[in-house]
Amino acid sequence: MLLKTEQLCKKFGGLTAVNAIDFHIASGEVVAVIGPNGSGKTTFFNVISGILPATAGRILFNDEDVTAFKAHDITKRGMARTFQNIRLFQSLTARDNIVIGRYSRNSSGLFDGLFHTTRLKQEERENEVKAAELLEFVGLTAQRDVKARSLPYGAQRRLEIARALASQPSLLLLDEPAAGMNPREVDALLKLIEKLKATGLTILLIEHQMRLVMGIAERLIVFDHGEKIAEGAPQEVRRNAKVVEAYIGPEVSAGAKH
Amino acid sequence: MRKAVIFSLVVLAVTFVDSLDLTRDYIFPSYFKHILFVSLAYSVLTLSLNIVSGFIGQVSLGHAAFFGLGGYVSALLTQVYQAPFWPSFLLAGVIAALVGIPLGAPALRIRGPFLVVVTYGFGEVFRFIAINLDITGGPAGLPGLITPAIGGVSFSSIGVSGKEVFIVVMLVMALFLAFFMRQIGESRVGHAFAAIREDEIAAAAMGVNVAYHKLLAFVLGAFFAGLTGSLFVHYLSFISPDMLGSNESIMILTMVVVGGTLSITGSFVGAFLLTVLPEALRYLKDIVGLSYDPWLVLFGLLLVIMMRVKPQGILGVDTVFRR
Repeated sequence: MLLKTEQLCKKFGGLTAVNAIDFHIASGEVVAVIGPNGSGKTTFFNVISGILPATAGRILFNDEDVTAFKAHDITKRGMARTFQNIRLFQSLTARDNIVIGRYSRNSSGLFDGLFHTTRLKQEERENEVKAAELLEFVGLTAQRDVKARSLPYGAQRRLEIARALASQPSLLLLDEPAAGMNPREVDALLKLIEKLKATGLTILLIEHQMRLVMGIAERLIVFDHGEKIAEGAPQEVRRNAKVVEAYIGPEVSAGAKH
Repeated sequence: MRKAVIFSLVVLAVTFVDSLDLTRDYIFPSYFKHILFVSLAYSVLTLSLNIVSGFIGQVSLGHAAFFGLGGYVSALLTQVYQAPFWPSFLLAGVIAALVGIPLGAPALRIRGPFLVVVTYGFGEVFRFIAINLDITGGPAGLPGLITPAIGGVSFSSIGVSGKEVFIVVMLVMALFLAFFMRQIGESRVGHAFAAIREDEIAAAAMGVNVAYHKLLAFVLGAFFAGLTGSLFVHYLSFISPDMLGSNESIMILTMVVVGGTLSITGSFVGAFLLTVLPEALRYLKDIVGLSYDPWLVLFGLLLVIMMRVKPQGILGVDTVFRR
């Protein structure tokens, strides 16, 4: 298993945002987490990516216990993510954003910085090549020197994915990548994720747009009130009574049937 | 690079033109050289605060504490323990850097106005310690500090005013720090600083150790401020608690803001402008015959205009005081 959680919990005071989640994702899989607003999906992401500490339970990444790890240590081990509310480095250019995304793959320190050693120069050359590749991959080559905050919304989303990819992750977490996108942008995103899937990258995504989820995910996990209420292939989950109830509400009465 | 060379040549020319003894009178009196030295000292301080305020975008109102701390460490080592100047000078930087860790620590949890209040308090604590301890000479400070020497030759025995060597040493420090900051700014550590300045959570998600780099910025800033403090007090051969106070801190922060956060050239501009201007206005006061010093009025006005017209500073590209 690439990533596995055992009885993972996250509490904020008296509120249990994530409750005893057992979850796993294998290498090469594409899995989507769905659920109503406030069901703990993003908190789940924040805990497994190390941004929030877990209250209880365990997280295993590549069979290593990373439960107590900080976000930067987890990134170094090959997990990258995007954010629901875009968190680009707004006043830096598209290229700079991707170069900083390469941070965890480089290793030069203060000394290399002061004397601009061959190691730093070597890394800079690699970063430049990689940044050009990734800009090409997400179709932002022309916007290389545009500040992130000046990019259109869809482009910002794609740049955030490129920045995450820059760390050469084995697992990519996408938190609502299609949020706020128009249908054309969603199509472009779908193509992008399919391309990533074809490279064998493992992807875990949170998504509301059913069109995207049904088209791309091999397996769905459904959250409600911090608990996992269903899991399985998209078509099965869609017919699951508990899932329908969580989204639409309980069935009123037998008399209401046609 | 070219700017640095031209700047150094001008400073050296002003410093040494009298030594050539071309005229009977001094072209630049001792007083001018004093202003030049103070401007250079503030340039180093402004640059060192720019590591904190520019690189990681945190506002610190306690920076003078490191300046004064370096001064006191060096003064006490040389006076009480009879230590030679250069080891005391280095130790002043190191101790200031170590004290930079506890000041950086709150910055791991709080930012913006809250951090301003904490760092302000930090600076004032040091001032009150210096006022109330016997070993620091209380409010009167410590007079009669030794003059540094190189190879047994005292700084004050070289040059016509005795200030020349001090100016050269401070110039070397300023140039080194400017070089250091330019190199670091374009390195992987600089990327980490930029990421933290822009968005701490995203920085962590990129693999940046946010806590380590924040502390690093505070420690580096404190180190250079401590070194400056040491050289400064031995230049004056005197130290008093005023050096530690919030007035000094505010002045240094103002120089950063006026010159422009993140700008290395701007740090020099801010420091020179705010050191030379009050002195020039003192002349104006005598010439025009004003009964008050116009500096304080103009100082406030200058800041208001700066914030309205160019909040990013004269040479700044971006600002921690975002609109």
